[in-house]
Amino acid sequence: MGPVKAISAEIVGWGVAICAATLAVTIALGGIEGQVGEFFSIPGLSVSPRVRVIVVILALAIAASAVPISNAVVGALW
Amino acid sequence: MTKTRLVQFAVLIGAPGLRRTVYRLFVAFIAALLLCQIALPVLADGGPGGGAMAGLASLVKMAVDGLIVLAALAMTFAIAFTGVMSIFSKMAGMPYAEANATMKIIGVVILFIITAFAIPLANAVIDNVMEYHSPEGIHIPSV
Repeated sequence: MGPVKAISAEIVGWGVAICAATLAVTIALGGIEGQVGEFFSIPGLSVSPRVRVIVVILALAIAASAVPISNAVVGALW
Repeated sequence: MTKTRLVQFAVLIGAPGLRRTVYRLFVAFIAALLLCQIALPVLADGGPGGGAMAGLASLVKMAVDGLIVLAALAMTFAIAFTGVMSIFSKMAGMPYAEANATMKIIGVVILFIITAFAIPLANAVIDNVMEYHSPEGIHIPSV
């Protein structure tokens, strides 16, 4: 079971790292999208990045707490 | 039987929807290869604290730097264009259009600042979220 745990931990680590990288790119891309929306007066483009950034932050929070969540589920079931 | 399946596959390949999907997959594959090409030197040299995670971080840093440059260009264009629009609206005696142009410049500048601070902002969020990261291992259920 040790190697399985190690591989799972590695996958979780990669997931969190990818979430963190996505957050940085989303903030930067959201800024540009907002600029374009502001310049061409397109409210949809100006507003949607804000919601997207919040969703990505929530996703990062969930990814960071993946292990406690799965442990809680396992603890509740077994 | 085999021939029929081959004909079916050929018809499937001929479908324009599938062709489009295959083309998109091909473009995504080429993009992934290019990104790997950029990231690989970082992975190969190892270095202090090198490795796959460092490669990913470096790749994202490069992407964000590119986006900051793009945002700066967009801001320059927006300021120039909106400035001209503001001059014309002042000339034509249209205060609403002038105020609109001013607000547009302010919005674009604020958004550029947010883009320029993307990495510190992301780091702040990551540091705060990772404070709650549990060092506990994964529980494997015993069946």
